[in-house]
Order: sequence, then structure tokens, then C-alpha cells
Amino acid sequence: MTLIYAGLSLGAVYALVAIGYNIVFIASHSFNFAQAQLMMIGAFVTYTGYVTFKLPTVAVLALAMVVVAVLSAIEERIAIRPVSDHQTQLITTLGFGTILTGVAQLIWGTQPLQVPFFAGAEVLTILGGRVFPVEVALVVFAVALVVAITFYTRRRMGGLAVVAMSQDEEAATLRGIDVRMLAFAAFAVTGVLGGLMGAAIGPKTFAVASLGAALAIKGFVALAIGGFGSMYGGLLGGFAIGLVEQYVARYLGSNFTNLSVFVLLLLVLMIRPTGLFGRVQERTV
Amino acid sequence: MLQLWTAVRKVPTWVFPAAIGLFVLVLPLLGPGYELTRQIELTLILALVVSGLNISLGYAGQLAIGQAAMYAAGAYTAGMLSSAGHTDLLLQIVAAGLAALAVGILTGIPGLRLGSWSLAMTSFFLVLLVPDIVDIFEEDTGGHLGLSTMLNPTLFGRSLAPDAMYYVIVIVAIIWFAVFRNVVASRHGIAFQVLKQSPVLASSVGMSVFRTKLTGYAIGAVPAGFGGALLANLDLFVTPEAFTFHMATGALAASILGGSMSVYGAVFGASIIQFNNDQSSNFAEYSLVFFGAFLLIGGVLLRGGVAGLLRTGIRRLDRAAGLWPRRPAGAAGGGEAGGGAADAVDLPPIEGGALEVDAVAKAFGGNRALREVSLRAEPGQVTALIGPNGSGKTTLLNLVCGFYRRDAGRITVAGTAIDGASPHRIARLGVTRTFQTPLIPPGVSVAEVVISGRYTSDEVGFLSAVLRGPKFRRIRRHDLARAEDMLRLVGLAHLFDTEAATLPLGQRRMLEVARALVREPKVLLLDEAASGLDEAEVETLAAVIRRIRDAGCAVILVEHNFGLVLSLADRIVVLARGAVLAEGTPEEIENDVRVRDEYLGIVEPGDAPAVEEAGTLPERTAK
Amino acid sequence: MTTPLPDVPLLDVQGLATGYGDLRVVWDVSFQVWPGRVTALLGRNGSGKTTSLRAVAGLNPVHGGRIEYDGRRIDRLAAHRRVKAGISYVQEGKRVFRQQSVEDNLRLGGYTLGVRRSALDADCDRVYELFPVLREKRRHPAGSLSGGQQQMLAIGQAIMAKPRLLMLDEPSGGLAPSIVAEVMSRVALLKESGLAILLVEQAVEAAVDVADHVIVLDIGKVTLSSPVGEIDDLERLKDVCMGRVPAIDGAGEP
Repeated sequence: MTLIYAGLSLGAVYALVAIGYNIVFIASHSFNFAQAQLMMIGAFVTYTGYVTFKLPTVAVLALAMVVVAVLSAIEERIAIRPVSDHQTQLITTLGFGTILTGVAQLIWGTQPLQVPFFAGAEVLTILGGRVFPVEVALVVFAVALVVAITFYTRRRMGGLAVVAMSQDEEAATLRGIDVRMLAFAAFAVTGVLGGLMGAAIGPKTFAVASLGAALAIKGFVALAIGGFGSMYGGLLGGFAIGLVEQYVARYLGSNFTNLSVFVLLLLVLMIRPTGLFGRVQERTV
Repeated sequence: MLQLWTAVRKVPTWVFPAAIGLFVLVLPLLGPGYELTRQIELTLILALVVSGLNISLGYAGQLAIGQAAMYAAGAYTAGMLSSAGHTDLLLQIVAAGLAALAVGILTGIPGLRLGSWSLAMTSFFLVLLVPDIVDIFEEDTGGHLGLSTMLNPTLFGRSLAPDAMYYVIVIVAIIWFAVFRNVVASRHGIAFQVLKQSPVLASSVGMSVFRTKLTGYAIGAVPAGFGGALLANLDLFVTPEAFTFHMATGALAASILGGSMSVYGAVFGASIIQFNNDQSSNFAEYSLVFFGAFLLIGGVLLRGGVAGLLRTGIRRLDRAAGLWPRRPAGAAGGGEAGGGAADAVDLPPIEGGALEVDAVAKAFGGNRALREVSLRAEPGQVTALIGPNGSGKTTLLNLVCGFYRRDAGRITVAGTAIDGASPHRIARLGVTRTFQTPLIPPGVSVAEVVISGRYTSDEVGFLSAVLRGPKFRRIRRHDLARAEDMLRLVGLAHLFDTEAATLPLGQRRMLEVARALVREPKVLLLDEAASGLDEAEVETLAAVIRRIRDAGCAVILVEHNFGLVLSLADRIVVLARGAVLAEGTPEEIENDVRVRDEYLGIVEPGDAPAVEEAGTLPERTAK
Repeated sequence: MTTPLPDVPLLDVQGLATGYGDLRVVWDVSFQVWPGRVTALLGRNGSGKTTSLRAVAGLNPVHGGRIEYDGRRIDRLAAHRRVKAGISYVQEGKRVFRQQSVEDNLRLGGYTLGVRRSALDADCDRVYELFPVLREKRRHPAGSLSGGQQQMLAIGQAIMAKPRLLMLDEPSGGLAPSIVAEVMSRVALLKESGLAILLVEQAVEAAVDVADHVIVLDIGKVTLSSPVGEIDDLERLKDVCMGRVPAIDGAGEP
């Protein structure tokens, strides 16, 4: 049971990255490589808020959200908007993410920092398995976020508009939707969420500059397994990777975790290139 | 000043890099000191890795950015061979190249199927796997502590002095860049660019899309393997820390910065990144910020990188000195102004072939786009295909070219059934086409665009392209002569050296015709070739089409300009709602009331529901 | 919103030139649309009808000429702002949001009204009165509707925004005759309600039935512009549409 909890909570971290990718992907069909690095900054800001400034939890979360949202908005302006094609966007967002990693190293150094969690670090025992409070919180947070986003996209005009835009940008424009503005807003919102996510994952993963690269790729795998654009898919993909990693590490050795995730990715993509919950592109003649 | 430039430009371009290479090779005679030679060694090794990226990313357009993994494969192959007593450097380099090639092919096959971000991510993932794999095979690789059991390298049985590695590295780099340049300048290099522009275009000139992609990706792996072997022997030590995400990002930054679509840009980019790395004692903390900034700025502003800037500079000087645009050798007088005249050239006879479409049907879901369509296009005739939107013209074209599989019926080209053939095979049977929106790869000259149409004629192997033997030269001369003929036919000969993508639409359409024609197709499909042309251009086009027809080619014209169709076509086939409504001479079609009514959208009462409705009502109607 | 005098055009397009990138499809096109009337653009495909509509909607750049709407130039107004200003465009090919429900599609039509999702129920009901079949299918994904129903949904979506100018691009395209008749009868109803309608059609007869003014385009130029009342020979009109007869005399010919 302990293994399952560990797998699920690790998976929740990957799922959060995938959710970030997904929001941007749904809104503008681009892929924000820097998403994980934004979360990494969120984790560092959380650390600074708690440890250096000794701020209360609410203020720390607000700080993390604001900082990351601002960075995210800057990224949209300098790395996404001036670049027209998605291939080059991958390179520019990778560049932006690399800058974030470099800046984080300059400010916070290369040693992992222990980010405190507001609910403490006492081990809980649930159904015979041992689990940290932050791990429970991560799983709950990831699931709640997916439910909330799904609700928003089905019940609010803004959400309807984003979904409409992802299907047919031109038709959305002709319904009076400001497609560019909305894509920008989606980026900023991802930033706000990224700050929150950083605060949530920090206590589990530690705040460390190298977090970005590892999370970026695992988050992508979660997305690819679940299917681009599918929120529930990203969640399940994340949990699947988390569990595979924990079980492989336990029974085969930690050298094999990345390898097994890679094999899993290739298998899923070869069998279902659109992912488990991805929509098959509709043919338009 | 300009005279000096003119003199400089008379020297063949390959002389300059060769001279620089030679200079670097003899540099130790000037006693540059350990620091500088070490920097040059590391820069050239990095340049090898970056040149691989330039092939796969820059030329072939594949977002494969995991070159660090191939680099590692090369280094460990050399290291393990050396530890096992196989100290011959040549053997190690070849084996390292092959190992990198194997990694490239193995990961390329699944990765290339996915393309775009998925390929980027899987190739980055590969880099992340390096330390794990090294650990798993700890006994042979030394694990994370590194492989330190390497022996001193030998060459042809003689032990190499430590400072001899410098010469080895420089010579390998010179040879590789010469090979790289020859490949890029050959039709294989142009083929990569064609593929990058459009897979549809690539298969329409007879290239296998998957094979070409895989070739680009695999060739890109080889120099990374060479670089790995050299690095291993330089320090007689291999550690997984040399092949990190950081290194992969640095190589990518070097490629973008130097100019991904260039040969020597790899050296520029590598020197900048290596110089940046070298400042490690002072600036290590800033290196990631620099990499990131390079990627960002390179991606947004410097689309061509340093090499691109140089190219623009050279072009400017050339223009100032009146050296550009050059004229082809044959066009000595070259007085034709404006480029309308399309009559100066004789088009030699083309052995055309009939296109036969027999009872072909195609449905998408419940939507029956084509139902039992039959037609025949004879060689030496223009067969026009007209019909309202959604009548199935494009579907039919895509079936003929092999982009769709038909559900029923038969298509033959000059008597050969195309059955399930893939698009590039059909192209090789002698079917060629132009596109509604002209597909012209950027950065390629008008002449090279035409030559890219000859990809399947007089095949040139990679080796032959690298060595540039007499056969290669003969074919190249023939290519250029043919291109010039075709360009004169369509009235573009005066633009021989111009960058094709910068031409206005009318000339791009003509260029597509020239490219389609250069391989003497049996069947030529013109997809709305007149759309967007002004009246004079339409007339030129009509004249060219007549000459192609008279040469013996079977021309199929899909066109909206009714006047052009009536004046040009020998036979007209009218499609409506997925079936042939009428067929006949222009006079017959012009006076057919049904054709006009159908064209203007009159739906006869009691007729079957139209195509979109068929999705809900899949009912079969008699013809 | 006051209704302008009927003899003042709501939309006035003069000497329009437009296209895609450097592909110029429309060279010189002029027409007007008045409130409570239908102007029909006719012509073969490839003649520039759709491209002209796209330029009015703001999807294609204006290379030359001018577009005036409600007395002011809108050549440079962003497309989504033109929707807010009252220009609704129903594209050909029934481009509804296929994954979303019929009712959500209608609500998206009212996006520019800037109200909450639930506040649009009354407006949806009005569309259901016009197209009752949509009410039955309100919870179905739009992609599951038949072609005719999707066309009705697309029109319904457009009128949710309470437009003053409605542009319809081949509403009869790919539809069975009975459905065409139904769609056209609704177009007539909308016209009577005071909407200015710009209709693009290949089906000459269907268009002439509902139109007050016809414009024929060929290769991006106007070959005929005439009030419907002055056209007595439908066969001749069809010939002009095919580009077979150069033009017939008519009012407003350039």
C-alpha cells in the first residue's frame, strides 16, 4: 500500500505538469516546454516565502502564483507570440525554460532545498500504508484541479470559448471570440496554476534547479499516454507513470525506472499514436 | 573595393573553408600553447555533434534533438573497444559511427513515426536514459564513476603521441565537413529540404517520405558517434556527466545560433558555445542563462543563425558587384525582358501514357465522395476535370496520386495498375502534379527547385554524391541543362539563380510546371494552375500547356476558369456529387444544360441526398 | 440601436481587392447590402464570392478598395470586433463546434453579448422557435447532427449574436431539396425581421427566389449587378453566372 501511495503521489506531480501542458495545448495548440520550469520556480518561491521571509501560507501561495503568472505572461510575449510555427516554439520555450533553470541556479544554488508543507510532515497511516500529508494533498489537488477545469470548460462561457477555439479557431473568431487574448489568458492562468502547483510539489520533490528537465519529460509522457488535450487522460497517464516507476524501482532497481517509462511511452505511442484518451483527428474533406 | 570582391568571388567557394582547415591543421607549428589547442579540439568535437543536428533538424526538419545520446554511444563504443585492447583509432572511429547510426535508426523508427513534439521529447528522453544505461552495464562502462581503463590509441599499428590527437581531430573534422557539404549540395540535400517543405511534395517527386526522414536522422547520428570516439581518446576517460541534458541543450543552442540550415554554421555555433563553456571558472553560473537566451533569440530573430547573416552579407556584396543574379551558361545574349516569352525552346517529345480510371469509388465514413467514377485521359491530349465544390475532383486527384486508398475500382497509368502503391511509387510510374498552393522550399534557387523534380531520374547514390566522381559530374551537368531548358520553356530562364520562394505567385506556378515537367512525366496533373493568375499569365500558361500536350504528355487539368478550360481542353469530364455527370468535347459540354444547372447548384427533386447528408442516410442509388 | 433608413446601405463595399497571402482572388468587387433586404452574390466557384465575404468578416486582408459598415470604415477592424459590431458570418461547410452540444454551440453564438451562460436561455428559445428540430437535439453533440441540421445550427449560432448584417455562405450547399426550401424560408423570415442579408449561392434559382439584388462575379470581378425585379430571363442569368455570356446590361455595372 505504501508503494501505491508513493506511486500515486509521484504520478500526481507528473499529472500536474501534464495539466499545465494541456491548458496551453487546448487553448493554442502549442507546446510549452517551460511549463515544468515554471513550476520549479513556484517551488523555489514557496521555499523563499516560508523559510526566508517566514510568511503565512496564504501569502506564500499568493506570492508563488503572482511570480509565476508574471513569468508565464512574459514567456507568452517573448517566446510564443513572435514565433509563428509550433516547431520553433518548442525551441523558444525550451530556451525560456533553460533561462529559468539558469536563473534559479543563480538565485537558489544547485543544492536541493527542503520546502515546508503547511500541514506538516508527520507520517499518516491509511489502509495499512504509510503516507506523508503532502502526498495525500498532491493526489487530491491533482484530481480536484482536473474536476474543476472540466467543470469550467463545460459550464462557463470562457471555458466553452476555449474548447470552441481549440476545435476551429476561425469559427471561434467569427463568434466574436478574441482568440489571441484568450490564448494569452490561458497562458497567464497556467502561470497562476503553475505557482500553486510548484507550492504543492515542492515539499515532495524538493526545490532544485534540475527539477525542470526531469519533470518536463515525464509530464510529456503522462500527456502522450493520456492523449493530447484530454484532462482525465493526463491525470491517468501521470498516475500510471508514477506507479510504474515505484514498482520498477522496487523490484528491478532504480536504474530501470526511466527505461521502463520510455518503453511504456513507445508502446503506447506505437499502438495508439493519439494516446489512450486522445481524439482521433476527424477527417474533413 | 568591389573589384577586389569580384576577384575573391572568382575563387571556387570550397577553397575558403579548405584554407581555414589547413591553417588549423598546421597551427601547432606556431606554438599556440595547450589552452588554445585544447579549445580547438573540444570545439571541433562539438562541431561534429552539432553538424549532425544540422542535418536532422536543419535540413531534414525533424525535431530530433537527442544528439547527446548518439554522442555517448560513440564515446562508450570507443572506450569499451579500447579497454578491451582494440586500440586502433580508425577502427574505433568507424565502430563509434556505426554504433551511433544503430542508436539513430533504432530510436528513429518509432520516433519519426510520431514526428514533431513527440520526436523532440522521445529524443530528449533518450539523453535522460544515458546515465541509467551506463549504470545498468556498470561492469563494461564503469558506471557513474566513469570508464578509466582506456589504453593509449594507436593508428596503423603505431602508438599515437598525446599531441597527435590534435591532428586526428582536425583531419576527421575536415573530412567530415567536406562530406557534409557534398551531401547537402547534392540532390539528397535538396531532397531533405523538399521533404521539410512538404511530405506531399516529396512523395510527388518520387521520394519515400519515411526513408528520407530516417536517412536524415540516421546520417545525423554518425558524426556525433565520431565526436564521441574522439572525445573518449582525447582524455582516455568517458563519464556519463559529459552527456547530460545540459550538453544536449548546448548543442541545440549551437546549432540554432550557427544556423541549422548550414554546413559551417555548426563550427561557428560550436565555437561560441565552447568559448562560453570555457569561461566556466568565471561564468559557469551564467552558462544556462546564455544557452537559453541563445535558443530564444535564435528562434525568434536569427532564423538563419550566424551562417544566415554571412550569406545575406555575401549576397549583398555580390549584388553590389553585379555578380548576382547570375545567368546560366547558355543564356549568353539573354536579352529577353520581363520573362513572358515561352516560345524560344523546343520541347522534345515526351513518351506519354494514358491514365485510366475505372469505376473508382471512395467513401469517408458514410460520406460517399466518389461513386463509380470512370474516365480516360489520353496522351497528347488535355483532359479537363471540372465540377462544383465538393464534387470529388480533389478526392479523385488524391486517389490517383495514392494519398487515399480507393474502396473499389481500378486505376492504371500507361497500362500499369497502381493498385495499393504508395504515393512515391506512383510518382515513379510517371505521374506528376502541381499544387493549388505552390509548394516551393525556402532558401533554394529556381534551378535547384527544377532539378529536385529529377530526383528519380539518373539516380545518384550517397557515396557518389560524396565523392563527386565523373558520373556524378556528368549527371549534374545534365540536370543543369535540363533545368535550363524547362525554365526557358516556361519563361523563367532569366531567374535561374534567384531564390525560388521569393518569386511572385504567377512565377511560382510556372516553376511548379517546370519542376513537374523536367522528369518527362507520362501523366501531368495540374491542380488549379490558373487560379490567382492575371490575364497575361493565364495566356502564357495556356501556351505552355499546349506545348506540353503537343509533346505527347497526358495532361489533366483541374480548373475553375471555364473560359480557359473551353479553349484548352480536348475533352472535358464534369464531376458532380461524386459521379461523372457528363463527358465530351468543349462544344458538347458548353451546350449541355445539365452541366450548367448542376454547376449552378440545382438539385433535381427526388434525387439522392447530397454528400453531406449521406452520413446519416447511407442509401445506395442507381447510377 | 436605431434602424437606419432603408435606402442607406448598411454595408457598402467599393472596389474591393483581396486574397490569401499573395494569391489575389478578388480584383475589383463592389456591392451594397440594405436592412430588410437580401443581396445575393452569384457566380461559379473560384469566382471570388467566399473570399469577398471573408474580407468583409475580417478574415482576409483588404488589399485595395474599402469596406464601410454603418457609415464607418471597418477595413482594419479585428474580425472578432466586427462580430460585436453586428456582422455575423455563417461560413460554408457548416463549421459548428462538433464536439460541443447544440445548446452550447448556440450559447457560444451569444458570446459577444457578454452575459453568463444561463442568461442566454431565452435567446436559445428564440432560435428553437425558428428551427424546432434543434430543440429536440439540444443535448446532442453538434457533430452528430445531419448536414441540414448543422446548417440550421450554424445560422442559429449567427443570429444569437443579435446581428444587423447576416452573411450566409452557400446555405444550400450539399443539402437535399426539401431542406434547402426550409432553410431558404427561414432566411426570408429573417429578412422580414429587418436584418440585412448577404447571401452567397451557387444555386441561382434558390437565390433569386429570396434575393432583392443580385451581383454576379467572375474571376474576381463583377460582371452583373442588378435588382432582381429587372431580371426577366433566368436562363440568361445562369449563362452569365457560368461566364458564358460576357454580361447583361443592368444597374450599377462597373
